[in-house]
Amino acid sequence: MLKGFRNFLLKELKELLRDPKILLGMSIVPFILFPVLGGIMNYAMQSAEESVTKMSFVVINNDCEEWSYVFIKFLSSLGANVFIEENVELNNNKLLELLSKYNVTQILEIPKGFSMNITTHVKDSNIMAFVRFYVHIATTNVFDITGSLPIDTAVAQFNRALAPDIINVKKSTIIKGEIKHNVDPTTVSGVIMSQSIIMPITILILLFYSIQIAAISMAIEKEEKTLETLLTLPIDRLTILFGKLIGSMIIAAVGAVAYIIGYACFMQSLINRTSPNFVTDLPSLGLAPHFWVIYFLGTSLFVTILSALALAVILSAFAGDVRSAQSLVGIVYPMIFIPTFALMYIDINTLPYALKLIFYTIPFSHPTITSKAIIMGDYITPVLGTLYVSFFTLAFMYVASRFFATEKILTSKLKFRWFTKSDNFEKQRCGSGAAGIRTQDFQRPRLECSTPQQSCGAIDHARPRPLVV
Amino acid sequence: MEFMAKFYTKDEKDISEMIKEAARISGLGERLKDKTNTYSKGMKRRLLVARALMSKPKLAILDEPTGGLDVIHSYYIRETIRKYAREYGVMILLSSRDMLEVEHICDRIVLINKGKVVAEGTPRELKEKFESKNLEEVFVKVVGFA
Repeated sequence: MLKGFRNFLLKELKELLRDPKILLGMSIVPFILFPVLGGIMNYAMQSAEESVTKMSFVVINNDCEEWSYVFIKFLSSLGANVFIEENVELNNNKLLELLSKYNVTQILEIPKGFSMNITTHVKDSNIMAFVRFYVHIATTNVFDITGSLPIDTAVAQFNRALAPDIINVKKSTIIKGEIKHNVDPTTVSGVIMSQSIIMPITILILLFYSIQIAAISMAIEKEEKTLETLLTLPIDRLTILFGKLIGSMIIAAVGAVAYIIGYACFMQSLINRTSPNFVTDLPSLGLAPHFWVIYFLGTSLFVTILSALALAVILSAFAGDVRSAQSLVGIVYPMIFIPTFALMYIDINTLPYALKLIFYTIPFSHPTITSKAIIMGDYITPVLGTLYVSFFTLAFMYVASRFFATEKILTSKLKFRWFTKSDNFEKQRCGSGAAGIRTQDFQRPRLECSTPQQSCGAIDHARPRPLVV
Repeated sequence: MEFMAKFYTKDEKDISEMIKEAARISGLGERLKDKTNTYSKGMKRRLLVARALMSKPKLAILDEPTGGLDVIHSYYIRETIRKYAREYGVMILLSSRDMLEVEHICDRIVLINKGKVVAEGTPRELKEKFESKNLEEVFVKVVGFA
């Protein structure tokens, strides 16, 4: 055994456990983040499971002959909830009307000649019957996007009972209120799924990056005492604040672009490998990014990053060094992490009212909401969201600028002083108050501590080093 | 230095003169090209003093410019301050707890104890008034611990 190891280990453990920042970090993830994320995943999967087990669709029987009834009976026997309509001429409006009338997302059309084709198939195997299957994609909940799998299974079972390939399924997708003929809903849902995962993850990383950059840049100035030098310059303090905000934002944007490129390359290589047909013609589906999509997403992202930066600058202004700044901005992370992950899997519109309200209130959830809303062609939510976040950003920036305009920027400190012995010792000696934000005027130490040798740690720390103007 | 100089003037010629002046004041020579995090405390302080004086301000407020420095660096900084005040008429407002430094550099002195002004005058006036050899003794007598 190493000499003195036990003693040293005990000292290390005590030191680590006494640091409330470490304790906070250790408890946030297991006791808050995991249960919340588990609940979200559970909810998303539960709602998806319900929709699968209660598979229901409208069958439009335009054939109305023997085999069509057999087929419908077969579908019902599988446990599917089938609503039957007969002799309906299908067009865009009629489809949408039926979807809303029966509150379903799938429509199966048995066209005229279906029974005749089945009968003929027995004599000539080249002739096959077909059904048309329409899937309405109206939600971006990844677990809800079931595509066309259930009908494929049903038709395969029916074929197995009769003859191989006797019935084919011609699939179409209804998206943003329009029918896209011969577009497999599975492909579309794949595209939506990848978009609704890639975008929030990118946004998440971008927000984390910018918050870190802003907090560190501010904390370094304080740690190295260069902020005092900057404040002596013949420039407006707002120039310093905005310089910090915009500088951090540019660096974050560069990081994000690099990240997006890297991630896109990664996804592309994955897609190419798994299925070459996965990437369909996005513009024809109305899913390709166009001007408004980029505009809304860009604006939403811009104001959200700005609000995150302002918040990070305010928080890090209370930290004396880089490490404390990182711990402080850690408080914001759950507010970014939880909505992003939740909204990645769940469509916000399917959530209960209270949860919906909470997610709409958190400014950092809006880029994710926007990115999903624009996939579905909804431009009102992004506009309202952007306005709300802009208001938030302005409020944060106002607070940041007010804070910057005072000397508090040099002396404010948010201290976790519940556990550490040295802090208690300090409290006794200096008679300072309980935990919380403590603002010190740097003239005061001289009044409280008569000689430099007697000066108290925290106060001495708050007191700037020689300032040369 | 260039970054700082650009806040005071837009003229390229003035900027270059300011940088030359700062290099001269700091006396760091070739070390000016090195990163500041490789500097010693004294070198950093010389850089800061140079930064403050290079624009030849009307008033420079210096808070313990030699605090925590070794004898050589302290001497260099004091000499620079004196020289600058004399040559360019820069008014210096200096705070320090080193009474000998204050006596050496300053023309007028204000003694502050517990946030209150307790005495003021030229070093000579104060020494005569309190019948002391130096300002340190003056301060102790004024504050009342001696």
